[in-house]
Amino acid sequence: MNDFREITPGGRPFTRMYLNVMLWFVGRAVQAAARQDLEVKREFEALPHRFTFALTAAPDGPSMVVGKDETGRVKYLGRRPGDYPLHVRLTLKSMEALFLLFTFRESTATATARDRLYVEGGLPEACAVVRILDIVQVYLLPKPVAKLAIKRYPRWRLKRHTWDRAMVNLRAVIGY
Amino acid sequence: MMTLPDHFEFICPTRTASGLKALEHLPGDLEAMNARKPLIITDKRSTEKGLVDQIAKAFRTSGRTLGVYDGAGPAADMDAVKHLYHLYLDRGFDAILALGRGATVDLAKVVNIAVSGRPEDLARCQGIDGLHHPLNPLAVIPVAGGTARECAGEVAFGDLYYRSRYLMPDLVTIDPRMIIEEDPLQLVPTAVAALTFAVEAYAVPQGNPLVESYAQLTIGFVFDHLLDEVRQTVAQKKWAARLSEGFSLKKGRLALVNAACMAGYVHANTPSGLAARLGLAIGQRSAVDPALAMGIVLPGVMEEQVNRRGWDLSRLLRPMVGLDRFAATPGAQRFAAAMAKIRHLFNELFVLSEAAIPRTLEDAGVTRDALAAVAEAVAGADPESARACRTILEHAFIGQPVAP
Repeated sequence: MNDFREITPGGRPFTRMYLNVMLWFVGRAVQAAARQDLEVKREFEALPHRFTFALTAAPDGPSMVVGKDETGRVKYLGRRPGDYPLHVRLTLKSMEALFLLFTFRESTATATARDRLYVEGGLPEACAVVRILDIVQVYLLPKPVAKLAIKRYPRWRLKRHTWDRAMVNLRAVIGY
Repeated sequence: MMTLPDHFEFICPTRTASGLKALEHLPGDLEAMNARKPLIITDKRSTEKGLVDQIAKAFRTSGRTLGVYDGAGPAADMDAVKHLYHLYLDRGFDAILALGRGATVDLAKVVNIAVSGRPEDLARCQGIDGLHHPLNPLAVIPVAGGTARECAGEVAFGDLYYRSRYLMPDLVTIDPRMIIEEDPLQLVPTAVAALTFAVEAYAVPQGNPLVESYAQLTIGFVFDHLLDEVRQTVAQKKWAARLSEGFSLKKGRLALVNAACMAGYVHANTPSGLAARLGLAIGQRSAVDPALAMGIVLPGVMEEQVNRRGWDLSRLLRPMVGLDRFAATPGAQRFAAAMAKIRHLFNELFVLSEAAIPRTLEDAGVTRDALAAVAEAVAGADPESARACRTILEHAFIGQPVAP
């Protein structure tokens, strides 16, 4: 029996904490970008009424839920995907995969190519969500970091890079 | 050039995850197979090197309990099978993770046969296609080195022998963290065994395009990485140069482990070749590693078969040298060039290893007297086969090509 033991691997409290903060901020930034940025606004307008999506890590990792309310306003809805009827659920296979994504060592496209991300819901809606998240990451991150996180860094006008970026960040902080 | 055969079959039920953070895919992949409590079967060395800890880390946040048995030894042990059978059932495990190589993976597969049915299956399901039902989930996590049969559907466990597609692992997870620092020469038998399985996959009557796809990749990986890997690690270098080479070294090893896994898939879809059988028989009658013996007799086996059956195996050269060199070599010279490449590989390994890796059976310390016994053991009562085996072994003894 000396050759046998049972182990229960512990959690990753610091990683979980970091991801919770990141997802909280990104969720609020999506809400802010939907009000500030025309492209994000159009993407959301094209999505169905009361559209809700979640980004989460399996099996019970950190999550964020974002959706449109009955008036069409985009809101960060918290971190409990189970509380809402979801149209699209983007799930990373493990918390480590989500950590790779949010430490900008791997882009969403690379995570998909490496079979770390799976989607439940309609593909066109999921693609729209990925496009929105890419725009939000450009707003939140400095260019060298954002280039790692997204497939192609966009060529934007100066106003979008400066005024809109500042407003998205400010709105994300104050939650409006 | 290969033409489409009238009929061919190919089966590879294994899901392979290779590369950065591949281990972290395991909990999700096991979940997809309804496996919630895996038992890791490994050896003491893997525990000491921290490999089990790496797996435990990959399972953090999964909420699973893992069983770890690290008493696997280098030889077949029925007591270990009995012990693991009871552990598996009594503690409610529902999947096996085999961490290691050769004998460890064989032990895991044998235990899986017993726990997936009844213990009597071990005796009842022996031989080729003796298993008639799928087994419980089995994942293999290869480490550097091995027999290249880990991912095949074959187990030789003491006197027991099984060959079935149900023995192929459901998951193979190749992670750079598991490819621990090894003596580079330990990788050579694995790579040579992989090369043998891949090259011999071409030597079937009508060919099989899917098998050849895997075989091509295997041959390509071995020729692209084996010599570089041995060269880099054998060379005496300053620490800064070693540091800068660290990453490429890992890449090379990862490629060779991938090659070994692909060779397993090839082996599962082809009958056991003559070089593989001769190599095993030589290994049983001498101190030489069976994998190296396979590689030494491989060119002779291929030449003898091409001469006797008139097959065109010139396409073997392409994965060894790349498309440009292949195109630059006249068609009539390609097969001979391919065999020369295999012999050249052994000659280089002989030099780099300071004669630790033999070029010929004579270098390997096999006596001429043993050759007849090996030929007889492999060919059985068939006089034509026995003659062919003797010819091959005589030529491999001195490293001489088998002339048409």
